[in-house]
Amino acid sequence: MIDESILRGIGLIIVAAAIFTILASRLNVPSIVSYLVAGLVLGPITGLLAVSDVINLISHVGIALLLFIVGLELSLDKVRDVGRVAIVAGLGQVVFTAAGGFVLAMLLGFGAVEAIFLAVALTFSSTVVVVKLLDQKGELDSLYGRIAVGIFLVQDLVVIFALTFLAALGAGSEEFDLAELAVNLGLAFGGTALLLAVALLASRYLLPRPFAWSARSPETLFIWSLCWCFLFVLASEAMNLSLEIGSFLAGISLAQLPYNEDLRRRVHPLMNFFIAIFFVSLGLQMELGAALDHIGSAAALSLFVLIGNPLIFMFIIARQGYSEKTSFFTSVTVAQISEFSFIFATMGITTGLIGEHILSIVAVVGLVTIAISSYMILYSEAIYRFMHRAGLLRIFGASTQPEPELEEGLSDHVIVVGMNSLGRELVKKLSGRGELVLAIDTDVSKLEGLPCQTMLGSVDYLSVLDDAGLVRAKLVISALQIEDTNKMLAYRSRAHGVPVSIHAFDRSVHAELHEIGVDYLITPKETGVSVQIDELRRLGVIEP
Amino acid sequence: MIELALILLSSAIAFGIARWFQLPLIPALIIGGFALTGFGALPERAIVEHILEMGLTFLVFVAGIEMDPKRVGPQKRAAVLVGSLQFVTLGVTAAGLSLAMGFDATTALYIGLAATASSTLVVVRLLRTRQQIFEPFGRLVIGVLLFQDLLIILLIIALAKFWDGAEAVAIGMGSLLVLVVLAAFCMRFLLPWLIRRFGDEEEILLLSILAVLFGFIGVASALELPLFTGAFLAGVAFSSFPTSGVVRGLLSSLSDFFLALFFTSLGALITIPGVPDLLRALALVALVVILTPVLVTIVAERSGLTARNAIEGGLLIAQTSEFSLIVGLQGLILGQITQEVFSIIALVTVVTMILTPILATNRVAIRLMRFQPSPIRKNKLLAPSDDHVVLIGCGTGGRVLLDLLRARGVPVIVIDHDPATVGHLESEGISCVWGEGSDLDVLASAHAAQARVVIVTTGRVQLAEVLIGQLGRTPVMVHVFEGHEAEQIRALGGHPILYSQAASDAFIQWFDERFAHPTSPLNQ
Repeated sequence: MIDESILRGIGLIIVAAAIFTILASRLNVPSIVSYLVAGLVLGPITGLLAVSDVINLISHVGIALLLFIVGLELSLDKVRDVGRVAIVAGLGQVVFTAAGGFVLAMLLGFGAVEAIFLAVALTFSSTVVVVKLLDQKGELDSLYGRIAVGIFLVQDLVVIFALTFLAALGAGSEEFDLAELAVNLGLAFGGTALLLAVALLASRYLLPRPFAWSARSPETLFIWSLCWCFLFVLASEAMNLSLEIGSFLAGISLAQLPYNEDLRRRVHPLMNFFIAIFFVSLGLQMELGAALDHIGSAAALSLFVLIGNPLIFMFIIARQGYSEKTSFFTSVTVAQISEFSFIFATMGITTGLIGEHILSIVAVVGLVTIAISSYMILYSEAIYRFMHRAGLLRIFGASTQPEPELEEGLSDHVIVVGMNSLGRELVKKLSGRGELVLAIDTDVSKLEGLPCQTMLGSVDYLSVLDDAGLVRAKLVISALQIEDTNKMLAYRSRAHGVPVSIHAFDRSVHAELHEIGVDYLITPKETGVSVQIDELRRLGVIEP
Repeated sequence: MIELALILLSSAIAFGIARWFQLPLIPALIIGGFALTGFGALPERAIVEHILEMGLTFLVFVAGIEMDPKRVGPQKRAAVLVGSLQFVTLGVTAAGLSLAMGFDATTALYIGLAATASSTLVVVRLLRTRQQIFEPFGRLVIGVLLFQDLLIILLIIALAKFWDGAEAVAIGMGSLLVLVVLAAFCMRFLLPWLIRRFGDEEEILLLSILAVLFGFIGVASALELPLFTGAFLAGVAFSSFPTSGVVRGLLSSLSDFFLALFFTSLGALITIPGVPDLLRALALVALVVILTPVLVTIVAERSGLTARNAIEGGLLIAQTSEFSLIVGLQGLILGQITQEVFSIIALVTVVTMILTPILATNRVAIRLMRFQPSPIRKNKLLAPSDDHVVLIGCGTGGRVLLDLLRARGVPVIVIDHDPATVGHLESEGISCVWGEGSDLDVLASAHAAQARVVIVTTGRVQLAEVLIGQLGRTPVMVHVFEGHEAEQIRALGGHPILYSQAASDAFIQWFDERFAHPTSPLNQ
């Protein structure tokens, strides 16, 4: 219509991503890998598509949403918990990896400047890749997930440091201005501190009341939260910080409100859409031109990232007193380089300090390490068991007693959806009978004062049902008067063999609900008649 | 990024204002976008246009998903009748009015088309909050809306091809047919497989659904159809159960996001019209707001609705649609209408949408009943009686009660607004009055003031208010679902029958039998 380019671009990306993901799903290929391959096929291989400004913008939105979600999961206690280890491990790893990478690059015959660039590019691990995978595994909230996220955010600060440094270099290598560099770095750290302070103060004093008001309408809450997120992104861009830091802090400030879980589930599909475009565009941008000539160096550097990086980490984290299992799981997450590595190398080329071939090498190392480490992260459980049995992890001297994990979800419970008069009445009666009840509604005020566990969310979302433990439930009840939602809830419950009872508020819906296999139809209008009869008896209209 | 954040900020403010003042969301968003350009805050037009494209795609896709004829229930024929009559009459009148106001023929066609359809998004939301979606008139209104959405999509295609001659229109319709066949194929084979295979994997499923959407857009583009046609038919392909439910769950946050951005960016395209254009817009608003209720009332009543419901339905759909905005956008992009005309169309939509919740109220409907020509069906006067029960509303629960009362030998007079129900009951020999419970003549025909008790099963608190005021000493019992409604009835002096409570008792009985636990003291 207007100009087909954006729909064509996004359409090609989405269709290619879907095709590769579906083809790869039988082989248990991590979706990130299929996205990258889809990008490679669309871009460098067939040349169907080039990255445009809009696609770049969409990729950035994806990253912002991903980090926003990460922030949403973290209450302040959880951050404090892992703060120390994140800083120690994050900084320690940067130093060791940079040193090791530099030595390796020199050994491979690169010049000193090139070796410095390669070494720095190797130190960045990809927050986006790891967070995406942890999210896919549902382990963002685990101890090792939190440590990993902490480490990555520390590294993001280091990235800002490096990029600021490089920008100062690029501004004029003749008149290298140390004072200006110091000011810029000061601004970066000051900005982060400022944003953090704003986020924390807002979550305490500014946000609770307006958000409590908006939370009665889920769409309003959703749009307000996204707006909050992008205001932080804008602020962080204005202060030359990464948008990761801005959106993460926006997430943290909302995580302290009671709606964070519901928000996370709502933002999640949106993020999945945007982040797929990010990964495909990463594949699109790969400059593989000169890579073949340097295939040996690329392989050596990749191996260093895949094996060396986790080793360095194992030492640091095990030393912090974490168990062997936690240290191992955390360490596995850092075995790749980041999209920042590409940006860093690209900037290096524009400053004229390094040649094009370095970018190609970084691209290959990026592709290889992101792909392989995705497997490592997804299958870390199995790898750990193997390594543990082989006794390979004993040298790190960590405790083999894992930290206690968080409790499992509910089971054998009764889920009641829709806190209208019927829903509340059911909850009270079931709780009174000693049943374990979980009440769900989209309106936070309707969940107040119930004698049971509650959950804010819309059961239209599969993720809400997952979190509610639908498959382990004893019975699912809907008191809602929304036909589509009721039908879908009944359908999903029956698909998992969970008994279900639905409020059939109108006769016209009975047949369909029976067809789906609903176990008991709640028919208030019909059953209400008996109360009416009693009342008529009391008035003497009919014989007692 | 700045543009995106600003548009989001404006949307967020619009959401807040709409919620605070209980306004429909769409006009609030459009006005927000308009204000944004007013402040000169959106210099980068390209981003706005990209957002419009994405938003339009999702808007039409979501409309397609709702195209399930089952939602209309038994009212399909009436819906088609009311829908097409309103569509044609409004379209022709609005186009005529535009010509009379000095627009050229092309512009008049666009304005005519923009005036035809009513807003599904606004009306469905209102019906939901008023819990009228399952009343016969609610179903009729939904049927009308769905049918009109379908018509307007067809006509936008025709209009886009119109200037290339009849042959181009024919080819366009042929291409459309290809797309329809493709949609039917996907609906029948591809999508059920997708849902079965990846039903529990959010990421893959989301991507596949979007891939189907963009695939259809690609085909539409290859067939030289407007791209949103592809999006609409992709939506239709997903409209059957359970696919539609899965898609709604996965895409609702995506569509919330893009729709908010869409209407805001659309607002950013509006220019301030001069006084003559403002007057023209007002004339069109008057046309839509006055002509629609009159038309719908007449036709709906002939299709078997009561006067009151027909009037309410007419008031409810007296606005132009989100699709009117698409018509305007399409004309603007093809260069067939001017920026000013687009602004007029947007203005009419904004104003009529804002007016809807103000005009479509019980009070207005009851006032308008006075101008209502006599009903088609006269009630005969029933023999006087003084020991009977008056039962208002003989729907799901009412019928059960009626049978119980009759089995006990209690004389009952039924008041119901559905002529079909009344016909059935009369053929069983039950005394009936056709009409609204709030209508004094109807109450008199049923000798309600002399009855031992009046029972209301339709659950409308307003009706109870009228009755209790009119009947004085006769006890009025009202069936209600929510606890707070019961409080209201009690405060008015009536007897609430809280049937949600009764239902929960019956449920617990079933629960104890089904999950009987031998060790539980409660079951011993």
